[in-house]
Amino acid sequence: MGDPQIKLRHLRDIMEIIFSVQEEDIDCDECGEHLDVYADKLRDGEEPADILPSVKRHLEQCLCCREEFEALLTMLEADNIDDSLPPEQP
Amino acid sequence: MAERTNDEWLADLTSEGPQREAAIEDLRSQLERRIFYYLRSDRSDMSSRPTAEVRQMAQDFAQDALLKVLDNLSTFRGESRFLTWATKIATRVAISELRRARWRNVSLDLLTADGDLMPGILELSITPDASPDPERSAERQEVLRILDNALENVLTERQRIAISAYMIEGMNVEEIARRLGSNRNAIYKVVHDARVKLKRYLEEQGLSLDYILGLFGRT
Repeated sequence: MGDPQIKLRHLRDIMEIIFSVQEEDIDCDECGEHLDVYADKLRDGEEPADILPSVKRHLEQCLCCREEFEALLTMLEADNIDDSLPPEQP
Repeated sequence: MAERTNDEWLADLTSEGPQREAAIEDLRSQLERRIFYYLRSDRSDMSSRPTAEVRQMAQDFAQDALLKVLDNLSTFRGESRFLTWATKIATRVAISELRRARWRNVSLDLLTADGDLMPGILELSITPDASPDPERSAERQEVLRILDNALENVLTERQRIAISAYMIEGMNVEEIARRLGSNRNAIYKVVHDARVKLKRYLEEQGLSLDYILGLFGRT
């Protein structure tokens, strides 16, 4: 495949990244430990930030973990579809 | 497919014979279904690839994820649904692979051999003013000068390298860690510390986020 074009983020995005940092933060490993609980609570209609505020804070400032969390939520949506996969031919 | 409780999943997966095999196959096919759904979605790099290729990827990732789930059964704490926990593992497998593929053939031309951003590179991150007003231009130049200065003088070398890489569109901590031969957690901390220092420095210089966003427009 062709190389993706390398470019910088727009300065506005760079500034958002810098200014969104909060001094107190857990790390990615700890955030990852709780992502499944966080996702379940969210999908059950509860407010996960009530019991896991540090996860919410980390997700606000960590693009890596946020991408993973959004991917997890997407995967969990597959339950709502009857046929995610085309039928196997014998 | 009958729903298992957490206890039933654990019991079946740690049993023997047909009961275990059935549980393993149920788990595998659930993971494959979810992974396929994700790969097909807008969130994934693979959404426009041919279906057969995506199906194969989903199968491969599901197989990897299944092995990791079975190897780590004892770490499941029962605080979430078992399938959610297993899906989290599948998410990591899929995203790791997608990230590796994203950057496979790319050399980071914007970085020097030492890993620093080319000097003056921040100019590339803005679009020029359509109708430049001299006072506004001067203010923009001043902000860029302060930013360049911050990158040069406020950070450790490691912090500068990590945050410079992070300024590249689509770049993420996992990829930076891979290129620097480090681990993701360590690089996250380096980037985090760099951001804290830069934020403090910019605030000391009297620059707020709102001011900077206003100055560099909505183009």
